[in-house]
Amino acid sequence: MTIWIRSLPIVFAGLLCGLTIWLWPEGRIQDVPLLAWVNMSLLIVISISLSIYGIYLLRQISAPPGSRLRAKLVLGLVGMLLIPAGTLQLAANQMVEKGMNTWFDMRVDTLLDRALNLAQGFYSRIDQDLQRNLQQYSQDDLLIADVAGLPISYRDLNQKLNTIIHHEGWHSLQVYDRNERLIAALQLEGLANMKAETWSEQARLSFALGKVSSELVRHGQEEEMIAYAPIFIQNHAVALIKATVTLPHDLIQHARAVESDYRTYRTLERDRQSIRKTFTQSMLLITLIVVIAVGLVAIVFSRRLTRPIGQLARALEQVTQGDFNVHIPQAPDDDLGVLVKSFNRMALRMKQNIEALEHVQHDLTQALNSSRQRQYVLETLLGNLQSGVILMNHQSEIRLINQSFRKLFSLSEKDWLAGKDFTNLALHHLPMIADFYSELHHQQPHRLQRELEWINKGKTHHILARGERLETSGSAGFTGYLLLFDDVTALADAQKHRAWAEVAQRLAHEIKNPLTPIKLAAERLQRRFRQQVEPTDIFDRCTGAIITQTERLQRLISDFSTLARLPEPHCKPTACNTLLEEMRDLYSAYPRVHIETNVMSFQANCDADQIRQVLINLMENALAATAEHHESIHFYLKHEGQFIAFHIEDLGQGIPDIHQAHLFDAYYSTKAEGSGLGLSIAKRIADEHAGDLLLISPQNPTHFCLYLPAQSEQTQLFEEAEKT
Amino acid sequence: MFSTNISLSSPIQTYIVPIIISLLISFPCLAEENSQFHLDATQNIVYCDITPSFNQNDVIQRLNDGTEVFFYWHIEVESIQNYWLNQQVADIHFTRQVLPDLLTQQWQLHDSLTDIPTHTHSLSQALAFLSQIKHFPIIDKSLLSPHTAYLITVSLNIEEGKQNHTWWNAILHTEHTIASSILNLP
Repeated sequence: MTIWIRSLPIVFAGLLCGLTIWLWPEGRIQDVPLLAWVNMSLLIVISISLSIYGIYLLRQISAPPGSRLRAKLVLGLVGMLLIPAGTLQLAANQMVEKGMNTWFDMRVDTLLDRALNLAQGFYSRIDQDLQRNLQQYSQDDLLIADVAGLPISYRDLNQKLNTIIHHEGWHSLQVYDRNERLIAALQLEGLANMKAETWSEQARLSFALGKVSSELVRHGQEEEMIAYAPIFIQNHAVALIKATVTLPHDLIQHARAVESDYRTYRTLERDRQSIRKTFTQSMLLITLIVVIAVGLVAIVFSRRLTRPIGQLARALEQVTQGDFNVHIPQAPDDDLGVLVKSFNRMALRMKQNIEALEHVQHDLTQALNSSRQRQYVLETLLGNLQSGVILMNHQSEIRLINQSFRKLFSLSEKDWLAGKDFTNLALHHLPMIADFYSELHHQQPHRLQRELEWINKGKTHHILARGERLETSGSAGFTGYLLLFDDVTALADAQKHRAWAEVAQRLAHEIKNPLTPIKLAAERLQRRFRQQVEPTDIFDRCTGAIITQTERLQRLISDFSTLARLPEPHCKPTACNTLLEEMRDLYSAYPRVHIETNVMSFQANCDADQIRQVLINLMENALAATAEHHESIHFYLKHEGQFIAFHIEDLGQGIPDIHQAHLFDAYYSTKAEGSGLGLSIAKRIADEHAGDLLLISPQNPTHFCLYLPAQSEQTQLFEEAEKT
Repeated sequence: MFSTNISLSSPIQTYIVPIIISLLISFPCLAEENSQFHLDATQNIVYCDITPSFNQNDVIQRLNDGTEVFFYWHIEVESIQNYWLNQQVADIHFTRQVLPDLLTQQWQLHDSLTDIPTHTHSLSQALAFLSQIKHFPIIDKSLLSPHTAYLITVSLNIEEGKQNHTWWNAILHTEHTIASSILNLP
């Protein structure tokens, strides 16, 4: 509400105060009519009420809903009333002023005076005539003689009175003696209604004073002029004559009307100013009453009109603040009522919708929590899963990938992320997996399982790949592919070892038993029949060959047994330099062998006997490779991370590429007399020590490296030493 | 047109207008200060003489205009109490009324105490009848206690027009104290 609207009541109050001062009655308090004080009181009450309301509006910081419209309605209605009411009051005052000037005209004043004088003259004339005539008759000798004569001649007296009445036209004529006794009477309508009345005060006064007097007696609408005249005999009043004249009714009415009008006129003229003021005050009173009534009606009407609007505004405010528990109880049966009912329906519907939304939100929250829990479980599961898992949608976009997948295929975390295109990445880095996925993608099998070979750093890995097509099911609505990869190289090796061990055991069992009798038989033949057989050298060569081959077969069987029954390593901290020194002492006869002992004493957690067997095997292979040209062999020790590395390098003929893939396979040998089990056993020993045996380079130099896990304390000390 | 309205003695003119005027317009010649008030307690009855001071010209004008004039007299005798309201001993109301007859130029005099109408042709006598109270008996001294102070108050209200006995007139009736005196009996 703007400030000028708020100030309107104060302005109105000021105007009313000015009007009150202007109309304040003058003169003494007791001379002021009550109406003026009533008006002044009303004006003061209205001014105070408006002032209080104006102050309330001005101090009000935020208007309650609907108050602005209510104030406008009230002010508008009262304002619309005040303008015509004020105009009407001014016009009425002017009319009254002109009317008063017209009413109290000088001519009217003169006319009324003359009319009154005329009426007065009429009464005066009758009175004077009556008194004069009665006085003449009271001095009539004949009448005096009739009254004073003793005895009284009533006949002569009545004749005399009859003559007078008929001559004068009087109504009645009565004669009283001094004792107020009626001695003669006569009236026009006869004596039937004649009454003997006591003297009036006027009659007694006339008799006492001895003067003729008269009085006017009124009997309702009738008036009588009564005259009294005493009769004197020798200066003594002896009787009283009473003459009555009935005034004409019509004349009396007119005369009395003139008197009444004159009286009223004079009264009005005397109170002319008062009448004008009274009229003004009356009009003001009526105006004030109407204004108050209209104001009250306007307040009631505006309250009834704005109550639903205010309730609507408050309800909307509540709805805006998020409170939908609103209901407007009262609804008038009009347009506002329709609006209120519509609002109630809207609020109820919104409340129901909000409740439904909250319910859905609750369900969604629970579902989200459940989904998050499932995702957490899934991520944890995938993170701890040894298998490589990768999930793709139907557009080959990676949705989920676990760390094991990257670790399995030595992939970069930068490239292999969720959201990347799997097909492109696989084509660049993992072609065989790309082929596997293409087969799963294009041939549309629901499930696909393949065993793939993947060569990494010269090592062949056996990968078990399984693919699953995910179809749309339930509410998930997800279609895509789930790929799982497991490195089954160890399992395949183990199975191969187990198969070969079983074969070796059976062969050893079946071959070993006849070899000893064969060898013994050959030796007996050599001892017993050597002297008897010619040529001896051939015999010796043959038996020697039998014995030699039998012994080779025995060694071969022994290797088979060793491979099949390789014992569990008994690991303990072993000084690696000791192993190197033993190897130096063992191969000191070979000048081309250069063994470097390390300054630092490295310790590996290993079974010294098995490791020594591995080192001898590697050294024997190197010596065999360098037997022809005596190339140098370099044997040294290194600490590499968490491992102790035994490096053996030779500059021999090297290992062709076709043999590299099967280098550590059992019974795979390039030597004519080799069993093909040396490197296989060495590899198995290294694996069972949680280490590894690798071909670093196939030639120039041919470089093998045996990795053994170092002692943790040793690793720490080595790292500190490297730092220093 | 105008004269017709004036000459008609309609009920509005006869009753309503005077009533409204009497209600809304107060009599301008109310009793004033400096009234004369004399008590005579030498005999068995306490008498008083009252001559109020008022605007005689206003009254005379009204009488000449034919307007009835009333003098409402109120004489009250109270025993003065020091710490409580005064105790009323006597309360006398009476009315003196003059009814002018413009046609006969007589003034009919009416006293509510005697209820005997008299008339006079003298305006001064009519005025004296209204306004002068001579040797008016107030109270018998036997009703008063010796060594007690009594407050005698005289109030007067002057009105004009028809005598009005309506209830609102009783409410609006206002009296004006014109004189008061304390009577101490030996």
